[in-house]
Amino acid sequence: MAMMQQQGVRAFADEELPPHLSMATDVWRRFARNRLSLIGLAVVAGLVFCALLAGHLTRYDPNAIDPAIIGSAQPPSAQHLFGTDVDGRDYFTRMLFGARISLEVGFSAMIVAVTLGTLYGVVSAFYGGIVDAAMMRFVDMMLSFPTFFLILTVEALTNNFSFIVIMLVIGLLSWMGVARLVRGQVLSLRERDFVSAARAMGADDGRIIGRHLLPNALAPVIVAATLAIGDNILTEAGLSYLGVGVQIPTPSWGNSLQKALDPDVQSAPWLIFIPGALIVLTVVAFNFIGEGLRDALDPKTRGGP
Amino acid sequence: MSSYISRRLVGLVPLLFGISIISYAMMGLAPGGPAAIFAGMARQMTPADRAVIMHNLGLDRPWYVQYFYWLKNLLVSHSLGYSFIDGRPVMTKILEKLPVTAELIGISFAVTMLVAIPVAIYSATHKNSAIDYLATVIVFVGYGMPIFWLGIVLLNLFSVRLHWLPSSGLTNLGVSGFDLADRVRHLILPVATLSFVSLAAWIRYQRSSMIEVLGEDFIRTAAAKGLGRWTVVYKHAFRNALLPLITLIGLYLPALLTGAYFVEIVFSIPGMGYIGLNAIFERDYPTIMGTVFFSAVLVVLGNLFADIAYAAVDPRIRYD
Repeated sequence: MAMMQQQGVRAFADEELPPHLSMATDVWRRFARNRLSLIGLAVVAGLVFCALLAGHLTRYDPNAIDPAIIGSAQPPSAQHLFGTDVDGRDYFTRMLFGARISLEVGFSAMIVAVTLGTLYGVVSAFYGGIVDAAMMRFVDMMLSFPTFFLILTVEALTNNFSFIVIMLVIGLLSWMGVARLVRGQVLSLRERDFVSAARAMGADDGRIIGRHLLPNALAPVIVAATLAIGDNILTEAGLSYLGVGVQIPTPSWGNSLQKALDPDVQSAPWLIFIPGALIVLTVVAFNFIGEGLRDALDPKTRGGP
Repeated sequence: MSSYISRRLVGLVPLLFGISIISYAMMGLAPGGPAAIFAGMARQMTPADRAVIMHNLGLDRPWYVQYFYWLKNLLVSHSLGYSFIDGRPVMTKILEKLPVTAELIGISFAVTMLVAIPVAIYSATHKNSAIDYLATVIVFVGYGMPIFWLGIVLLNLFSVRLHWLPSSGLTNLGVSGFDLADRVRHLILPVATLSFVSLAAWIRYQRSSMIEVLGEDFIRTAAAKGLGRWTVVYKHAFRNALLPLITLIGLYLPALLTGAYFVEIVFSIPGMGYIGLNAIFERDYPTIMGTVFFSAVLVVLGNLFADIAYAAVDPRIRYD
């Protein structure tokens, strides 16, 4: 009887209690259960690989012009995997280097926006009252502008199309969503008992924000950051398409489409199709990862089956 | 209700005021500045000539002084200033392009809803069906797709290759007056482009809204008392699932405007985005300021109407 009970207890423990896992292992397991997120991760890993080794994956220079074929775009072939553009440059090589630009801008502008948005949201929520009200009215105002149009205007008027400036303009004008998100998180967290406990033990504002509020608000920020990379890549492509982003001859997916309405490009559809398809692939991949992380990081379902 | 509306209208004043300051500050603080206007000019000018022109345009003063004059002009004579390029009043330029953009947005939005609502209802009530998977694919691809690229691809296929539809503008050369058939032919590709990208957002919103409502108690009650499936889904669930979407219309407006501007640029449709972009390239500051400010005003008004409509439609909400 006693033994049976003991067995019963053991069986219960084996079935119901989750194995002890570290946070990272747990998140990874839950992330990996989502097939689309894994595909997204694989695609991004592949793109990062291509971007890092762009120069080693091709025999051509992105700006090298083949005088024999200048003026007539060559369709994809064994020598030119993605064909050549109207100026006689290898399109595959240009797309490889374009991946580098897209990922660099997407990632670094995200860092700018997330850093700024997090600081803004924390300050707003932590100090509350009139500070919070004023800071959030400013966010409302910034969100009333069609963001891309504002970025476009500022970037074009700045008239400086270096990587740093493009990254800063995108980052400095797209932090508002993160600010709202972090503010909401901190507002609900700062009322919790563990924050009162920390304060009772003598923690100052900096410690409470840094050690207690931010780590707990991190999960949705990571998700938003992942999705922001995709948005930034779209923004960079839009700017470069309109001629106020990455400047020709530096290859970018967006600026490859600049001349897309010219008759000689219209008669070479691969020049139109490939860059756009790469943008879609990349942005969708980041969105898949973001969705997977959203589920994997959700503390309400953590540790469950 | 009326006190709610009047409170919202009063709240509009500081918001619009703030928006105008931000627009002006962005333009004024952007390095590069209006001096670059002269960069592309064919005729060489002496520095003295430049100084005279800058002074006449008021560009030699700091941005906040210029802003003060801009605001005074707007409040006193309802003017947004005059274009640097063609000298016409910016207000007139914008108001004559606004209907074009409004037409594009309005028709696309109607098309989006006509497709998104049935698809979303079907996929919410038939999870994991083929249509549900297709809807999910549209949602993800639509989110990741640059709208200008979709426009270019459709233009290449249906206009350049198949010669089915015109590639640019709103009317054919030689067509005099308003020809409905001609207008429709010109609008098919731009509307299809804008609608597809919006479709992603709206299928997603509508689907999750439907799923949420279908899980509520009153739906189970309706089904339990023997109402037909059609009545439960369309009369009980659907009408309630539409409510939160009213607010989302307001929130979605900035994205819709951006999309419309891109579509105008790709298809050479003379709307607000088209003149706004040209103004940016020509550094026509008053016109840029006008289009940026006007876009934000449209968004703010859209949000206001959405909130009021929501308060009017949903009896559970009482603001006063």
